[in-house]
Amino acid sequence: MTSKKYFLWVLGLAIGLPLAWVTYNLCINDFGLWYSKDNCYINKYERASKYLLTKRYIPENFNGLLIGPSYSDNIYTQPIKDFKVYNLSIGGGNATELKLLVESAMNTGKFKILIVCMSPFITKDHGIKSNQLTQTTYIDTLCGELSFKIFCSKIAIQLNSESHAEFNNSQWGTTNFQLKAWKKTKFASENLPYLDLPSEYGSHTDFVDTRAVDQLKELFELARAKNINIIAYYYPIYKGLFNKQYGSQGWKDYKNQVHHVFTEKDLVFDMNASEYREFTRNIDNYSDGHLSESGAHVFSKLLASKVQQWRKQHLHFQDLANSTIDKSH
Amino acid sequence: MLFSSIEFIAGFLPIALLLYYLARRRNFTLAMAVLTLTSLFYYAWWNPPYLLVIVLSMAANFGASHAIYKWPKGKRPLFLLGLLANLGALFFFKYTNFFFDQINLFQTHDWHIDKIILPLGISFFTFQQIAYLFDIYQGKIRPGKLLTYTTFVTFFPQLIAGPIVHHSQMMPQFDKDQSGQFNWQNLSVGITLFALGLFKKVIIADNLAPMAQLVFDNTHQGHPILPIDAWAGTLAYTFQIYFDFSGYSDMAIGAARMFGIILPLNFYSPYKSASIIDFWRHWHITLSSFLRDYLYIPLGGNRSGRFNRYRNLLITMVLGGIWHGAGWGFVIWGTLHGLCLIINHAWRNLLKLCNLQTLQYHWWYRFTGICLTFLFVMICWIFFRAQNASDAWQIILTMSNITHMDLPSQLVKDWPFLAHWSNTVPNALGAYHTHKRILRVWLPVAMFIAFIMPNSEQFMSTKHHSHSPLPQKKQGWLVFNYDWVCILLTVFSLLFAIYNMMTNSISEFLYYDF
Repeated sequence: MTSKKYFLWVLGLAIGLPLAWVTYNLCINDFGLWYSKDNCYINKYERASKYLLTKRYIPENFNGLLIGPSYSDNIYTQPIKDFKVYNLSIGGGNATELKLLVESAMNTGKFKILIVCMSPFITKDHGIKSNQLTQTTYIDTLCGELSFKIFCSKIAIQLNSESHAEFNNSQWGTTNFQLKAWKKTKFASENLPYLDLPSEYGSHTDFVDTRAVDQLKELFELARAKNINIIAYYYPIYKGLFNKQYGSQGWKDYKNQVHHVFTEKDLVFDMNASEYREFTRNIDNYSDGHLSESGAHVFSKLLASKVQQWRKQHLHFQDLANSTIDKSH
Repeated sequence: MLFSSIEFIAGFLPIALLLYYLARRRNFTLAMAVLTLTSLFYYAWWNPPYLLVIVLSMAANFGASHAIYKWPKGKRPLFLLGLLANLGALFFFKYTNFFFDQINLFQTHDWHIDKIILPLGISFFTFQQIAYLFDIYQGKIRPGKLLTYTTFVTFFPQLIAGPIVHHSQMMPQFDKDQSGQFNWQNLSVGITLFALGLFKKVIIADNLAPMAQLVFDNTHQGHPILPIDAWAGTLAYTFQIYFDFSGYSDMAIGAARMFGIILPLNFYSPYKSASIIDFWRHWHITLSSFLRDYLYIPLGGNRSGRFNRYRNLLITMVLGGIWHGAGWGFVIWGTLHGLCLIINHAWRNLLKLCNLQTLQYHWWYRFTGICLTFLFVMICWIFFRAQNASDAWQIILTMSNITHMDLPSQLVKDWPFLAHWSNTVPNALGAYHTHKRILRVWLPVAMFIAFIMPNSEQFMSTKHHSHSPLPQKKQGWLVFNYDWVCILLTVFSLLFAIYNMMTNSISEFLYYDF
């Protein structure tokens, strides 16, 4: 080979390879960033994927959001018929990260409902914990590490070397991590010590980070300003675990510290209240503290009926309000 | 503008090359003018007002060189004036703050002066010009033309952090009509060297940096560190500084070669050296050559007895240390190297006296020499990197505490066999946990490249020879050819490095500070 050929090949490949890769990713449009897409599935990297989906896919295809930590990640939102709700929950997500995601979606989207899974885990700390929720992730989809990782993951899925069942319903944002082999363990009382929090954290009531609570409050105020209705539920904790970790007084203390983020207009219900005893006492509804597959289905229906109920009431009030306005005219 | 930045790689370098070769097609002088202007633009990119510093420095030295040459009777005072002006400027920008800090230590009245920003590359272009003045003063050369001189001083690949080019190597290249002509070989060799340098800097040095920073910063803040963390941090810095600086040198040599200019060799596998004397022949070769020619030899060199030779060595190395920066760490670093050079010379004399010189040809002697030299150099880098001498001492003390085998729990969890002969402690610093990839990937990669792989000069020896004072250079076991392996190697290095530049924050070259 001559030096001329060598140089031209180096230059050609150094420019051509990235260009080809960028073009491929533009065409594949995994996250619906570059043109509208009806169904965007998550292949891997839930955090980065959901962040990217808030840019275009979610605002264009949904009018409701469900946010929370991994506790709500496997909730099915299809049963909610009145709204098309995307499950924007992320594993380990805290208030700051959830706020960032919702703000990003609200930038262009018109949402009517925001469902919140309240758990001590979203208020135990603040700040963004991963580097996947930044603008560079945007570039990453074209020519970065993320694009390579997702490409490799797709190949692994094709070769059946990687389970993909957890993302079967991910076009709605549901990430069913319970379907992963290692998570299939049944929740049992001997697993309880594993679920104990590390001693340095103290009890659940001790780790309500006030800045995280403030950020949650800011998020809700922003939603209200955009006429988004808020429905929140306190995550149903398995009764045995609930008694061990909180007790009724501990739970009251925790709620006292966070409950002020809601207003009277919001619909808030506590799944740990006695009326939901049947659910929280049924061990089949749980796997390792998270909801099991069957538990998630049961809860999803319950949530859908709550939303439907609220919707009817809300419409009734709205009708009343409208008629009052009409009469005054 | 850093070599390892997108604006340099995708903007400045291709444009400068295009302009240069377009001008070169018309005539040589125009090409040199283009090269000077682009180099000045490159310098001004960092801080435009400081362009004045380099322009004034060049004007003064060029004027002084002609005056010295034309007025033989007054050449001595003129030379001394030029020397003082150069050293004065260097002292002002580099050492004033340090000087006042030291004065304030010994008196009650606090002399406050604002932080003086060090003009980039001042240590390098000042030394180049001192050498030039000195050789004219000694009558070794005649002053060159203004354009040749300005191109020699400002030529951007070497302007900021060397190699410290010598006028005898460079000015003939900027003076000859034949040089700098368009040539595909220059571009091919240049881009390959540049890509290798970029890989060394962005992929290896920058990936090692967090480990070193973690250990040195924690020590400075008074946090306790484990012996294993201290070793890892020091080792990381030892390789970081090598790959950072030798990567920069490769990039400089590669960029210059694209313009058809050959720069001097600056590194030749220094960590493979079997003695500290050897180390200084292979580490920052252009600085060692400068210190030898313009400091050690004028001081008397090895001409007036053993004692004076050792004294001269010590002075040279202490001043070499101070050249790197204003701080006691650099003084200690230089002094340690000076003392070790003395011991090494004395040892060689002893071997000679006992007629045991053949020992050095034994593999075990060489192996022991490499280990000892590396260990010594590594310890010395602690003084070079630490924020102050007490931090350095603290790290050395921690490192020396190897009988007390405390290992982070994460490490023991990964390699349970370690539990049998060590104490497991929580990851106090978290170094192992947070920098697992550095310890498992980048440190071994760095060690493999530094100790096993042929260096850039050996790799390129089929197509490229830098100016080098080294007597004989062996070809590496892996050599450059115009083939697909090298194409892929170059493209991979370039793309991998550029990708890292885009996703990580770019860190400056360590030698920009010196």
